[in-house]
Amino acid sequence: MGRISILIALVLVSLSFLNAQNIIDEVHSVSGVDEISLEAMWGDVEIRKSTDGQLRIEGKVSINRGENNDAFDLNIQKSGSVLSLTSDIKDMENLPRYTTIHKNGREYYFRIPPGEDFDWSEIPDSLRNGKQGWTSNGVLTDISLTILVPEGVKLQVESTYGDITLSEVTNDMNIKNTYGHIEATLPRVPSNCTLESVYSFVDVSIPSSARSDLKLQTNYGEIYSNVDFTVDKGASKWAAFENRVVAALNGGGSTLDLTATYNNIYLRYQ
Amino acid sequence: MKYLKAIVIVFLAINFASAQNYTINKSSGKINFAEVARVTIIGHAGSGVEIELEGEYAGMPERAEGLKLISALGLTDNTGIGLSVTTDGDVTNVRAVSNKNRHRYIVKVPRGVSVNYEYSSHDGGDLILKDLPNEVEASLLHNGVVIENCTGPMAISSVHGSIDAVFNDIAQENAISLYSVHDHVDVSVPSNAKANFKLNTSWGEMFTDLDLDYGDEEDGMKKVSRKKVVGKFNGGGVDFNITSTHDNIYLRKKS
Repeated sequence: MGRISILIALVLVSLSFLNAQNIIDEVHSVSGVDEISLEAMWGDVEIRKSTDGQLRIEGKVSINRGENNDAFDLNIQKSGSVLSLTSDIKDMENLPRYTTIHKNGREYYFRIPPGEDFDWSEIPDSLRNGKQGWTSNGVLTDISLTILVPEGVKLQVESTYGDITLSEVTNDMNIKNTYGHIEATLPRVPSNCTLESVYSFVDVSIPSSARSDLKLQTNYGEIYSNVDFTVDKGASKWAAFENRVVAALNGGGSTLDLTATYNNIYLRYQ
Repeated sequence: MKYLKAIVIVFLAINFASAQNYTINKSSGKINFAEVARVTIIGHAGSGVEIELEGEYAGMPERAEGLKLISALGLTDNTGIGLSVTTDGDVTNVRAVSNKNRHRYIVKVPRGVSVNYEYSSHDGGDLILKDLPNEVEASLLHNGVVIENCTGPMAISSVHGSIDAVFNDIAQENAISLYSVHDHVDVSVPSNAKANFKLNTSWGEMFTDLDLDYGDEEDGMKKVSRKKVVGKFNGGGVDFNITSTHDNIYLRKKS
């Protein structure tokens, strides 16, 4: 019976690209709002400039190949002058999980009902033999959010597993990511710009005219740049597990603070 | 033809790098290595300083195309192998720009170049000095030093690392000093070497199979318990200082 169910699962996977998505499309006023705070545990986040002065949230959500899309929770609350957005997956520990075998350029999904363990002995021989693959396990998430923010509002963003992309945003910002990377294209460097990823890279493009007080820090990565600056050796630090570059760009000015604790920093001209 | 000459001259004049090595046009003066982990320095008969990599060099990530590796010291990798090389008069300074590579640098140095090496991190491995008649100074904080077939003069010190040295010959021009604070110093010399040995330990022991002339016998009695020993070997020669403050000294005939 187990072998039959596995085969059915494989057939379903091979036939099915009916990966149903929920679409998010919301608009919120930012009247009286000085700061937008976003906490996003899962999924990629793209932040762009809003052209109509409103906060727009667009996105696509697929959880467990569409089976559990309703578990996605986007909560929006205003407290004083702060508009807080929180995205999460409700009751995640009680959702079905999938063991996914990545092999020969394809993925083979094996659904594990809540509370049950995967029986590895039931993997068919066709997936055991031949070229090596790799396996992942957990709730399948395919979530992407695009946040369009009006100018003049401070951004406070914290993400855990997804990547963060910032395009043409000039707001003051404090962006922190744990496992995903941060890529930012800044048409001008805002007054205060702090970007930090713990385990992935931080890649920032700035105009050559940017006047900034620059701080680049990594403990286990490297710093790569084509930006012309003179390092302030007194404020900088070079040690076995700490590389901190402090410099003034074009005489200094706004704060540009980039940290990638375990990965590389890339700072480049646009 | 004129252009061809110009191209040849340019190639001769500049230091050149390929993917895994770098050559410095240098046959005299001094070369300083600062904070470069895992280095083997070998004497050779060539006319330049050749730096090669042992082990795979991670190189630049694809994302860094068009960018340069930089460090907090304001240095950039101008060698393509994670090092900054600058020259000031007859002194060449080599510093690490990358702090995460795990390969060893094999540096071949001509006879006329004196060598200075400083390393303060606990990361990295032993400094290996091999086949060097050159003058060498080395100061390390955590790592040890292995010396093979070098003649001196040299001043080698490590705070926490050991020093293991095998000499085939001892130059008589200037002193040799080997100093570890917390680890042992183990020295082998040929049986015909000439040296004035000064051995010093505060908390360790000294062991030797050399027939040293202590020159301080009184009424036919030798002092057999001491923390500092001065002894001539084969009638004496260049000053050869060996110190291990907290560990043992081993001075032996090279087999």
